[in-house]
Amino acid sequence: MCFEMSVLIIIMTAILFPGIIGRTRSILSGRKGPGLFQPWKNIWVLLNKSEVISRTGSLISQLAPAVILASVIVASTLMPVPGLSPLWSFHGDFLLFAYLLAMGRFFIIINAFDAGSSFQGMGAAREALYGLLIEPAFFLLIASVALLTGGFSFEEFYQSLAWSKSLPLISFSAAFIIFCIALVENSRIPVDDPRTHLELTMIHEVMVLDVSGPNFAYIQIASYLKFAIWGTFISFFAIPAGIGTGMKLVLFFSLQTAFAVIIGIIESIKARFRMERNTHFIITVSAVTMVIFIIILFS
Amino acid sequence: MIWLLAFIIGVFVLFSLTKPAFKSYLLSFLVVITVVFTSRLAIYVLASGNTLRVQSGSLDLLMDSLSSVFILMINFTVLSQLIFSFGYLKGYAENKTSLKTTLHYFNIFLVHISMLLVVCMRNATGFLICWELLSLSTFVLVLFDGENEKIRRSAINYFFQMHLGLFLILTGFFMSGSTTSVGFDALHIYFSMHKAWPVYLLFFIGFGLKAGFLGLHTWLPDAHPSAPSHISALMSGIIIKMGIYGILRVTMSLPDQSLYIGIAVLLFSSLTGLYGVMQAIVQHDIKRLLAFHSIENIGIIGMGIGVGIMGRSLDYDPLSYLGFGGAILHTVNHSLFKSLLFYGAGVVVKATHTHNIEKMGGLIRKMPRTAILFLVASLAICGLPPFNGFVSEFLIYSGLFRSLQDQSMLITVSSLLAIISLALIGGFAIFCFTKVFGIVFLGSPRSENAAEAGGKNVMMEIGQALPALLIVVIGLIPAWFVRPVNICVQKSFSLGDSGIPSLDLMQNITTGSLIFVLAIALLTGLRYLLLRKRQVKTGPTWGCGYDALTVRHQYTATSYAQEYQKLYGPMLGFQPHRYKIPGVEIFPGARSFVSHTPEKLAKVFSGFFIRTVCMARKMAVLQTGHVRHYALYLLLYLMLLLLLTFFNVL
Repeated sequence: MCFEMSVLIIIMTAILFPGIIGRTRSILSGRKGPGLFQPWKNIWVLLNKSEVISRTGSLISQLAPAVILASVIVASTLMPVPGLSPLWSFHGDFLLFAYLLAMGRFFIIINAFDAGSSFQGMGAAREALYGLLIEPAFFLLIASVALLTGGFSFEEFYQSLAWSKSLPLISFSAAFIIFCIALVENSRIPVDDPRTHLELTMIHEVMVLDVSGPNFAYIQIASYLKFAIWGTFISFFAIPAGIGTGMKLVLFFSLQTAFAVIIGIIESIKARFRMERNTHFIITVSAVTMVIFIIILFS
Repeated sequence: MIWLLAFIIGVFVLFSLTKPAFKSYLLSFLVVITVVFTSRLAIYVLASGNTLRVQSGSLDLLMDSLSSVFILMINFTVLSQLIFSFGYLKGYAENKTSLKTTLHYFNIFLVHISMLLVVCMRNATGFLICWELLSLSTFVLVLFDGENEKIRRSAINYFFQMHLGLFLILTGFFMSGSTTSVGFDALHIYFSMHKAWPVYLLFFIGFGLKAGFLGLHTWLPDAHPSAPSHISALMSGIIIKMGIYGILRVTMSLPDQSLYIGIAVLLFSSLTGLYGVMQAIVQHDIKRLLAFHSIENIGIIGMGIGVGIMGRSLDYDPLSYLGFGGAILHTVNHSLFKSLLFYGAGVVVKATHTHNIEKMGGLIRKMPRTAILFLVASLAICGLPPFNGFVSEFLIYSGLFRSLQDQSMLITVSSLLAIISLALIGGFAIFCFTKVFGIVFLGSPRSENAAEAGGKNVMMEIGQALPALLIVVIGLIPAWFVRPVNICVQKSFSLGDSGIPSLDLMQNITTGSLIFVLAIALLTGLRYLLLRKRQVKTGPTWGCGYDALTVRHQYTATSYAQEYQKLYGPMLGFQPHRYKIPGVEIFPGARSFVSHTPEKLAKVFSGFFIRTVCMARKMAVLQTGHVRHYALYLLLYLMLLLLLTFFNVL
């Protein structure tokens, strides 16, 4: 199959993701809930609006959301879908991936500073800290997988995941770690509550308080795309490389749906952690990744 | 050597004779001639692969590919610094005496010449003379504002530590020298016959004092803020790289079986990088903060060197190319973005008359071009694509991921620790530079000076634009620059032709960066098209419904760093100064709060030196000033010698 399919599949996943999360949450609360495509209808509305720009802001607030979305789009082209040939792949592409996401984080933080309010500074400080603490977890995971498979790119990691006695344990742990990383990077419960309306408790939401119209649409799209990317990464560990392409795609889509449903369930039953506990949570994630590395080292 | 001395004295006389207004033009003239002459030679050496040798009497100059890379870097930084200083010293230099300006301009030229000679000298005497010249001229340059006592103290601190380094390098040369030659040539022979690590350690510490590795860095955070900004840019951009040059030269002579040295360098540099950036986050003096970042980047360069040494000892060439290539490329990149950052800091400090970032803010509206160039440099130093920092960190990471696969547990674990350190360093750097850029340039002005700042200064902007241009070019098309670096590494470390992995990887980075820039352009264009027909309104920043917000309600740098400082508190030594609130107070009065984070490690070292000085003072009792006491000391010493010889001890 041609490689454009990789990108299209990720886009399809991104389109369905937020809708499934919202629907799961509503059903668990006993409501019927919004339609599956409601988030994208909201984005359409946003794209048709005009903007209100803060007087304290400068060129940075106007350009930052475009940079954020661009970084996530390019990062998504680097992540191959299991079963299809990737758009492009080279030794070390996971580095470009990680640093593009870091570029997005830099710009969302200075976007927050540009508004010049104390809430946004607070959110920026928290986001910077959590991003900083989760980076080693991601790199540790990549290093562990590199050690296990001997590959140097995402495609090589996936193709070389061979069966061994400890593979189920490693795969499950890796999937769990990526799940936690996704929760931190996308600012979901238990790290951050995307639906809180108390500014003092916000992390991600507070940084985009003064963003509106098409800029806000860009940031929402970036967040949905990030879900799809992390979901694809989880699927590396769940879909064996040996089965046929059609079977792989079916498994892929069901895995993504399960991922979205699980996030919806967690959002319904858990509350957000106390702020201090967030740092403990993130450092624990890094520590668990270290355990995976040690398992791989000694097997 | 006599000719060199005569030349220097002649140039000094020339400088003192010119009128103050023309001194800078004389300096530019001399610098441009030197730059053109040496760059031509350097490009010739790099392009053809030959080396140039001049041997006459006590002079032994060798220009090989490593020297050429450094010469090009030195020339570029001195040129951009010169252009910047035209604008920066306006209004600054008029208040200084004629002697001070003479010394200043003369020493810039002297620094340039001594650096060019340092990278070419082969024998120990010549090398040490030029090294000493470099330290002395930098010392005088730092003293430009010597009326201030604190600045005098930091300059003297710098002076002492540089001479400590000189002494260690001297010892290293003498231990490794033979009767016929003392210098880098003799080092090769010495390492093949003796254990490498004692002499290597001596050289590493000696050159490390210049470069600013952990423990050897205590002069850096004081000297860089004390110097005027174009000198800080010069120091941080290129003078500390002379230490890296020395370490690279000595590493070139290392025998192949130096695995433990490589791992030690790797781990020590990781610690240096982490320490530098962790201290940088809690500073609120903009230049002190940038000085700590220099320590961090020296750590990253050291990590590259460690990876390269490991590659040599494992006889795995790709690792050496990636490690040494990454280190040399990061040296070049760091000189570019660090000098740009210091230029930006200079513009900001000149405009707001303060070093404290807590008193700045909103400067992007007053100086948009400086702000954008500072942003480019901040993104580059954090290692973010599409700029040049990403390329060199990519090379070092690639080397580390390759060494991760090794059979030996020691190498795998060391590589893992290095990878985690590099990832953490990147995260901390993003934390720090979002803070600096956000607090200094964005938001609202936090003081009157910041509100009044402004003014156009073409020379300063051109001086800033030059490194920025190279930053962008290296980031977008790294293959052009990685190729000469690879040639340099191949020739210097005599590696084979097989396994040069870097070039096609660079093509991919180019593609990625270009797609990224294209995506940004498309999205911005889309937004512009969407908003063209609509009315974009402005409004106040959301304050939770509260209307009476002042500029003091904004986030401050200390508050931003508070999140981080809560986690790493014990290491940082945060000292708040709170003023007590009296027990009975009906109406709240004005309150203030100040906090400092002094460096704990510096206290350890200065405490050690103070204790040594106290002990030395006690020994001063022996210096009575009477000749007859000294004659007695001589007699006692001779008797001691006699006794020892008698008992066959000596």
